[in-house]
Amino acid sequence: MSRVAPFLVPDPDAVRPEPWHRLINSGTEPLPEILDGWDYATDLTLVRRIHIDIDRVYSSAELPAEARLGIVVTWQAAGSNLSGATAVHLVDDDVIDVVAELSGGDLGARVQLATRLVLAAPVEHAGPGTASAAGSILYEDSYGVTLLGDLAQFPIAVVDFAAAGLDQDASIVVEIDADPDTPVLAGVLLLLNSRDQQLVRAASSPGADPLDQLLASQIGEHVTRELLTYATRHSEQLATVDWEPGSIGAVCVALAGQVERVHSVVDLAGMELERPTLFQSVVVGEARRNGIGRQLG
Amino acid sequence: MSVLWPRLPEASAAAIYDNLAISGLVSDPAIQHAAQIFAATGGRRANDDDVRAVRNLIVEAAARHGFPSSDDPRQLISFDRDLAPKLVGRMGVVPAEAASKSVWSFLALVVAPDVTMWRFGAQNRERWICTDLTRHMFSRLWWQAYLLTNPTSEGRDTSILDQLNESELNQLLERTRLGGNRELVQAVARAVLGAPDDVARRDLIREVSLRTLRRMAHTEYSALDEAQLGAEIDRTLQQVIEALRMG
Repeated sequence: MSRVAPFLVPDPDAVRPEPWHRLINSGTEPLPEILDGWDYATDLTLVRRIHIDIDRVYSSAELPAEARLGIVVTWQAAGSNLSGATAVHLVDDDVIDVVAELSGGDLGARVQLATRLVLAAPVEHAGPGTASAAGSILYEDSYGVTLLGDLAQFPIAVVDFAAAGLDQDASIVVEIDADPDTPVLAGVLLLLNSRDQQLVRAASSPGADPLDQLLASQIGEHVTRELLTYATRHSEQLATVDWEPGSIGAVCVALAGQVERVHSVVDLAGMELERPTLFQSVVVGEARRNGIGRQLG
Repeated sequence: MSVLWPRLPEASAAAIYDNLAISGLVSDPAIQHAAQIFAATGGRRANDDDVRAVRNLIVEAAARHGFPSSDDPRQLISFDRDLAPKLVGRMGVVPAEAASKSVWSFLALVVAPDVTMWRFGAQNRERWICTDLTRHMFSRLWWQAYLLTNPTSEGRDTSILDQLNESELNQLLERTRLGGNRELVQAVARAVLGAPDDVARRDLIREVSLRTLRRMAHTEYSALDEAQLGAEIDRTLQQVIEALRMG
């Protein structure tokens, strides 16, 4: 816990939580930072074991014997900022197994889990500097899960560009959410013009036809170019934050970091400004080196 | 299971809004748009009947409060309070879907542009194109009702929501660490609504919210039972009242 509490807290290693796991049909699996295949209809049952040196908690936090401890898990969904919590699990043993049941419909593209050791009831005879109010946070840790997956799965929509207010002779538009913290599946939308039937066919079921393959490869190059352009336009913001895995910001920073001749989004932005022709060639070249787009012999 | 509502891509939303902002004219309401898309999975798609039913809900509520001819501010507010719980009851969306901004843009720009124009006019973009859930014409109503009303056998208990004005709602819900927690934000609202009236409620809400947020740094309110939470918020309220009375 990095913040300073107005009361004594236990030695940090008096509470040792194990990693989160997720209940699945065949048992449990480690809860990854990015959980693919999730949607609103997918509820999550999460479990973790927590080891608590109870004597050491009481002694290092100078808690009286009457103090009751509890574990509570809270969650907060990105996008809506809706939050909730499990019931308080009273600490009556050195090993606690906590279960958090999360309704899929309450969650969002990303959910932050906090596990907290708290006072489960007020303490009447607390000494000076000792926690006394119910809910006082004695220990906490945090874990974030991105519930919508990676770049390869971002949504594609086929729309009538003219009806959508776009240029009817264009074929591809990439919409990217203005907030880099948004997970890519929630924040990147590829629009294909329904008028370009060959492109739509190539995107949905590319076959052996060389033209279909060429068209499909152009989509990937286009998306990479738009993400790198987004990176240059938001370079200062992107450079100053550690973005959550699977977020637009994280993907953009990672892409920019792989670009030859630059080391950061800020360098990339400088290239676009000072050497725009080089920038044009670099963004396509970078896509192709990542296996996206038409490969040269 | 959630109902998945049509989503209007940002480019389409911007094109529609830019036209109406320049011309001052709204397009005819519709229940579909050629550019609409849906979330891929997670529920059943809203059909034409669903969209039409919500359109009717919106228009009927507006008509009860002066639409289209009256722009009395009191009637506009009473329209908000009338419609909010009905949106929650009829749309069938889960919070995760309700957090999708493009759903609300669809509702304002395609389904009920006439009512949106009546309520807010054309010049405030964020009322039409949802960029902030607490500011948009319809998303703010849904979330106000979701967070500050409770289901009953006959619909929803709106006793807390009905007593708060827009400014007070903004103070509570725009502070998302507080406003996103239903139990906590309702406890704060109930405490403030029960306070003596010699202290301005706006000041009470602001100060109680700020103190509660500060205390959240070292107090987990979700760990408190209803009685403990009420006592804790009341303690904060009394401290604020005392401080405000002293000037």
